[in-house]
Amino acid sequence: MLIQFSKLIPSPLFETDYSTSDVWGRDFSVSGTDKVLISAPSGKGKTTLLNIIIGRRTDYVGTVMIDGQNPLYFSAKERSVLLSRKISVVHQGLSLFDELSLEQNIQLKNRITSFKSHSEIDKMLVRLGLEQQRRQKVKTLSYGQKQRLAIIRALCQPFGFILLDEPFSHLDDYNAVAAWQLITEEVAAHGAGVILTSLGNNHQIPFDTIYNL
Amino acid sequence: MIWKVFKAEISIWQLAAAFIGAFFGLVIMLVAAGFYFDVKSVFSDNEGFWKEEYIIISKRITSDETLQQIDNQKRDKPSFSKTEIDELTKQKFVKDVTPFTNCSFGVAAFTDKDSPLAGFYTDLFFEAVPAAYIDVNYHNWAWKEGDTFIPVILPKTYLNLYNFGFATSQNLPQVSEKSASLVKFNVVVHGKGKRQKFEARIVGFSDRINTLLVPQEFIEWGNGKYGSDTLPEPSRLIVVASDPSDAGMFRFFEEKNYDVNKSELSNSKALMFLRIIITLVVGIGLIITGLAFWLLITSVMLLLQKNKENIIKLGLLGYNNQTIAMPYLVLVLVLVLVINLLAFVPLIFIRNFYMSKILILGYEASAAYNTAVPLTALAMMVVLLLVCFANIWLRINSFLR
Repeated sequence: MLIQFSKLIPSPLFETDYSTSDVWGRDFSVSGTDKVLISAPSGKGKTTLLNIIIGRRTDYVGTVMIDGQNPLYFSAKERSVLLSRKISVVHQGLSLFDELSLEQNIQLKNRITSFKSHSEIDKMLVRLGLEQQRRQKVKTLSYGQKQRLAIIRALCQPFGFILLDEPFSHLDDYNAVAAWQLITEEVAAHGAGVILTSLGNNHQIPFDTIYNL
Repeated sequence: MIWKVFKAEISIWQLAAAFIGAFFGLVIMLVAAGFYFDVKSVFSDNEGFWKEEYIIISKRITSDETLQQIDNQKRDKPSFSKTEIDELTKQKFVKDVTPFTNCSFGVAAFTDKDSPLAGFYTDLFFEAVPAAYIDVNYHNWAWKEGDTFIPVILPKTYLNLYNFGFATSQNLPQVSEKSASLVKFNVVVHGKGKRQKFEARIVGFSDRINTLLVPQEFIEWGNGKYGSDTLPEPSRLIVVASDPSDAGMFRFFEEKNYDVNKSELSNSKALMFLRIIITLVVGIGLIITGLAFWLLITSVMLLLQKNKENIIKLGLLGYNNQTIAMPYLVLVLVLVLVINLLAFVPLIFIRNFYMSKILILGYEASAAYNTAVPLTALAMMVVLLLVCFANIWLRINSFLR
């Protein structure tokens, strides 16, 4: 999968100085198995960038092309295909369903594509230490548990790129490493790429490219 | 599974209120519509109580008129000219106008010496109307030149006047309709210096027409042979009202100073009020139904709004709009179907209630009801579903844009 960025400037940044940014107003692309870190302090538009890629934000100038197609002009159906089969996202807000159990949250994703078997999901839960919380309602989980759940859920679909928006912000090093290992295994299996945003590279992850926003 | 996501936001009371509102709205609407169809059959029933109204009108006679006629200043009696009849015929509430045919020859009636009423003698007059307007069922209501027998119809009020006024006070025998019909009497017509004797018998009593009726052919023949050369203009008309409840009819008669037997119009007035009441009920039913449907749609929209976050999250997971909309469409479909089916329960009870009263009057249940009311219900259901579906679909699409 090829994602091309061309002179993107989101509307909140029109009036600010973005000349030092590696991303805003630049031409660059990510493709194939690239592992990319978007690093910036908060308020520089990390979440905005990810939302522009999936067509959720439209208030910008410049263009994004996903395999030659502009997500701005995706139909509702094309967007649902994009989000369920081509690009997987762990949102910063996690987008979990509080009233459903941990297991139901995963199933809600997995039933769209029937991508993972029960045993595969079980293995992932064990690896991230969530097997005890399977039937617990999400609203009773800690934020760190929720982050791990959101990561597992994001892996329950085929993708060419996985977008992770500060996925380890509430994880200890042990869990962050375990989660990253799980992610890289899946990414390798798909032959996919990673775009991860973070306040900084705190977890000693080997990225191919680091962009500073 | 998606349903589980949305279920948490459903307020049972909110939905129940909307459900009950829409239910009662629909019941009122269907009862009103059904009642309209049932009563409409009564409206259009020619044989029954609400039959086509036969109204007999004449010109109002004023005191001046009387004095002038006494002094012989004015020999013409008030009558309807051709232009007046034409104008009346053109009114939209009038289906038909028929003048009474007056006789312009003298008539006297007397009994034979051997009759039970021997010694009876009176001057008379006859009038005629076309046979179709006569409400007495006599098999041979006709006359042709050469016949010596004339059938006569009297107003029922005459018989009542005799039986309950005259006979009671003067200690005379009361007479039934049937026995009155057995009495034969002689009729002599005269004019232009000639006279001719006929045999006559009362063949019936009329509720509708307040005059001494003989077959029209007889009067036409008599007018030609014994009557004056110019035929008198009719002094009374039968008006067949196409819509007896038309308020314009009363106004017209009043403006023209035509006299109408008030009791003849009581049905018309009752009909008019009935129509006003039905219009009101249907109108109120429409308003209540509109409000109730609006409440139902608003409740569903509120539910959508409460689930806005969830809908957006599902969109981000890659659910397509149809899948997300489906639980709402199913919810509305089930609600509307149940409301429609349940509405028929009170509807049937209420109809049985009022039909039991209407049936006493001798009417049959309207055949149109069985198709018209379910069709009305179906139409309202389809409209409600379409409006709800369109709203849900547009709202979800706007969330996921």
